[in-house]
Amino acid sequence: MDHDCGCGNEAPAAHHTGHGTGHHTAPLTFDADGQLVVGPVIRPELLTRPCPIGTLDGSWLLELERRTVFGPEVRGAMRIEVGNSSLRVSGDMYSRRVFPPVLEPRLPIPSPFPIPDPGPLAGAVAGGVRPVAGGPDADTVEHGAEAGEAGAAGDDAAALAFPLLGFRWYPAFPTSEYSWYFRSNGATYAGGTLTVQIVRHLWNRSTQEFVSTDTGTLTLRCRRPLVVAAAATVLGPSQQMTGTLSIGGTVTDVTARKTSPMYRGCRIEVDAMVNRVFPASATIGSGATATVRSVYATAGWDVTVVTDEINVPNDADLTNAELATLMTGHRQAVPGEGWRLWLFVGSSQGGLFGIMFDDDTVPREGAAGFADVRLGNDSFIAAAARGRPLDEVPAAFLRTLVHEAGHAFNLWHPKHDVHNPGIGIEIMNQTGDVMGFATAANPYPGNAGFVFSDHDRTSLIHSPDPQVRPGWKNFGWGHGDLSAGLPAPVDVAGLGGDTGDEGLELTVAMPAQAFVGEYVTAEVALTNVSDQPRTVTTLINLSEGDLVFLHTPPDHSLQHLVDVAIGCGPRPTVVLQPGESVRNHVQVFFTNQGVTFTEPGRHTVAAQLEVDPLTTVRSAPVTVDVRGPASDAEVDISAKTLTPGVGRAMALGDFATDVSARAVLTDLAEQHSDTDTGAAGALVLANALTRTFSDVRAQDVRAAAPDEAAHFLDLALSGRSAQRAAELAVTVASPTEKDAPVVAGTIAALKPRAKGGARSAAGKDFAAAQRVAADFTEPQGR
Amino acid sequence: MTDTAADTVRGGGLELRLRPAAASVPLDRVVFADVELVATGGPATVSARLNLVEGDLEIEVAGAGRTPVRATWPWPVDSAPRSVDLPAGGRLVAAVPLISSGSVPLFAAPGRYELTARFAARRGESVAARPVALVRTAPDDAALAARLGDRDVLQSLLGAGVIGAAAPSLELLAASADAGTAAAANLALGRTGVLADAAADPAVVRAVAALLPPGATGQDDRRDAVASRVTAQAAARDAAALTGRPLAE
Repeated sequence: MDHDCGCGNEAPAAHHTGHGTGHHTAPLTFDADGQLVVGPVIRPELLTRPCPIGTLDGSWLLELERRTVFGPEVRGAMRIEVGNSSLRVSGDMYSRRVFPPVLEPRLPIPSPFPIPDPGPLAGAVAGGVRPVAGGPDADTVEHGAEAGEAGAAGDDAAALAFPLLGFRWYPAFPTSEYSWYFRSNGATYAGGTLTVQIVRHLWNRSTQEFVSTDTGTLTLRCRRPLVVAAAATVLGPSQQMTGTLSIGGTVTDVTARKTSPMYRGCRIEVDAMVNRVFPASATIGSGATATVRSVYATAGWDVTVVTDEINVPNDADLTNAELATLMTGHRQAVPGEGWRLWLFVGSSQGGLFGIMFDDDTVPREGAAGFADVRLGNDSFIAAAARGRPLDEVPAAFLRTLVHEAGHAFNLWHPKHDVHNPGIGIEIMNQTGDVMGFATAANPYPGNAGFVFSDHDRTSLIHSPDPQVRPGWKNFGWGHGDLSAGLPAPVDVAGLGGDTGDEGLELTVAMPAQAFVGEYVTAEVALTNVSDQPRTVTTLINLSEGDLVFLHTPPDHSLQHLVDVAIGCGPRPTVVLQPGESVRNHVQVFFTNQGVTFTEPGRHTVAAQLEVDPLTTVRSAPVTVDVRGPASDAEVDISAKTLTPGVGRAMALGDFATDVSARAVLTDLAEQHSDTDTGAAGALVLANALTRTFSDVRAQDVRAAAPDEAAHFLDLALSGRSAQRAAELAVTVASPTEKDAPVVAGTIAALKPRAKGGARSAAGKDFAAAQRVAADFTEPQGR
Repeated sequence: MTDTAADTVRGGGLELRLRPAAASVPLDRVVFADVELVATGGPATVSARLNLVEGDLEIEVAGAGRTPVRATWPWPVDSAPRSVDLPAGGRLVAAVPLISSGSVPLFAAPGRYELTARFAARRGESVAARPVALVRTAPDDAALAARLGDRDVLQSLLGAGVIGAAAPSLELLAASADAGTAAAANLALGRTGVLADAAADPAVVRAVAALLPPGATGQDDRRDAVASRVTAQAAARDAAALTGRPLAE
């Protein structure tokens, strides 16, 4: 953190002018109380120091200095996203010839969105959902708090309460002047200098497509006054960077002026059909209050909602043609290039909740939500919402309206997105899919997340203007069949995607979806991606302390997952040659935290492995979408595996003296051995019943039951590949029991399958099973 | 494997069947297909959203040497889940238009295409149909084929109403010798009487069911007029496609 100590000792070294050139040598003078004397003695605006990194966060107007008076005027929007562990940069540049040539570069006239009068539907004071997360330093927190106030105070009240917010604006230029898009491909920020490796995508104005790329370097210096007046911490002329852009064989001076601590802005005009209610605010599941503005603020968008007409004549059923006509007739004419969207609160269109109806030659300018359609009477819908028209359930209707507006910004349903981000409870999931995560205990709309997924948030902030801006490229350009879009910006080096050791790669593979109560396993692999041999631990399991899973449930808390039983001992190692891996399968169903996936919604799991005493590596997180059990079979499985004692038995590979757990496991195995969960139960029984068990406390011995064990082993192996059977066997065995009978027993039972020879499919399957078992009993690099 | 007669894939007691209305269709005609979800393993509660509007049904179209594209509605929608109870052997039947991917024509050129349907029948469970072949032949009327590629015309057909400057093209399509194509155009032009008079033709019923899918679209006089003429037992499938009610075995 960069502190302004005021002691004067560091000041001489930090005396730069606003442009970072030359040095200011004026002495600092302090009064009798040790306070810096500001005034005629010094010029504090000339005393500068590097900006904290958080200062960079937000929207900037980027201008290239014209090389000659005949050169084109090039300027555009630059977005710098500073996260807790990431920094991404993107921008959209526009150029035009200026005739007659002018001697001085034209300074753009800031064009803030007009702050509207509160509309007839406004007035609800919102609060709760906190928008843009701030950076780690004081300045960014200040800006984040400021943005938070804006989001929390409601759409129009914010501007009234914070007049300086009127200075926020978002550079927007005619689409006909669009020239290129750029994104970061790595960056550094040190000593107040931001150096960004950029990839530039050149735009063909005739074809309206990106046609070629080149690379360059954008360097910007950010200094701020050593002495900062309180008012100057808000957006002001001091928030300016200067530097150079080196690309295409030329070096050009550039200036960046901060326009907002948020990234993009849009004016949303809301018109409503008579007797239909626009949800100006809604209480969401967390108890917070959300608005259209506050939800978009979570993605760094500065949305101004203007409620205009509320008496659009009634029409009980609306076709898309009628919606298009309504937009033409009722949308306000707003001058300028600011982004805008028309959002209509209409009656109905069949059973639809909403639609983005505008995909014509000037597409994505209008979307609609339907107030009259009723929610169902299902148990997973909140009792107060069942059978109600959508506009009588503000949270549900608000979600749909924000969702439809998201389509207008070219976001797709996750399940239809070519990037396969996975379904969940976030805004761009269809309501039907969000309802899929609801239960009677956590019903819709309370279970819905009023945030955008990371994938959609990144798109909203960093995708090119033609993709995002309403009225430009058609729906589907960027996420759908029309194009997959351009890659997202890359994090600044050393902040994002830090895996701990560049020479080692840790990966974790898990199913993308699971239902509550399903037995879930993961494969963890450590690979030497360097060109030198590496000595690494072989304890790729959750029982012996080297491996831990970092689990984030839908409530975004963080859990460290390890096994219910932890063993201690020396760390065996193996030498991994370049390209070799050591791997293992582990169960994630039941850990020290109990059943892992009890909550429907999106979970993430990342692995962290202590490779040696000095090296810890981390995997990229994987996403697991957890839903409630759907079929009768799943409900029954869930009921059984969530029975107290069963999870622990599955984690230990033995029911010990718990006769109740044994009974449930027996039913699970007998009734559901066609599923992996049932097979896992059978394998636990096979493992336990193969051997005796001494109950020290009761001074009793549980006898082995080899016939029963063989029966359950048969159940587990039946209809299952040898490899999968072995994977399940090694996960039910306790990792500290390398000689667990279920592993050896499984391999022995599978061996007859390989009679066809090593080259047969069955032989290869058996060989894979042997490798899985060997990874458990005697891990080695391969 | 491609076989228009053996067009099912079993999965979890459900079968999905996709069958184009014709194996070969010129490019100046609208293609429709029948879709069926059959409960082969006993009674089943399944999604009733067997249509292209709501996104549960996906049909991928792969042409030789071309990137596969999905048949999609031009406009993304949000809706609630709807389910229907199928008795053992019961069928949920529907018709779909194979016109566009978004607002872009689905079939770019004459050729042989492979169609693969997938339906999210239940939460977490998708059923795939066996791929089927469809041949798009050169148009009999190239000018008409060009009009079918126009954005306003595509959207008018799929939106069942005139959008933009599509009316003249729709008039030409309404005169098509192909009953399904003509019905689609007449639907957009709002000619309820014409549709009702032709309701005995399965191609007309299929077009109306495909472009006004029950559940996804609201009450509609045009669909009601056609449905009122489809009463004979022999047309039970047509009635089911228009109403969304399942068929017994």
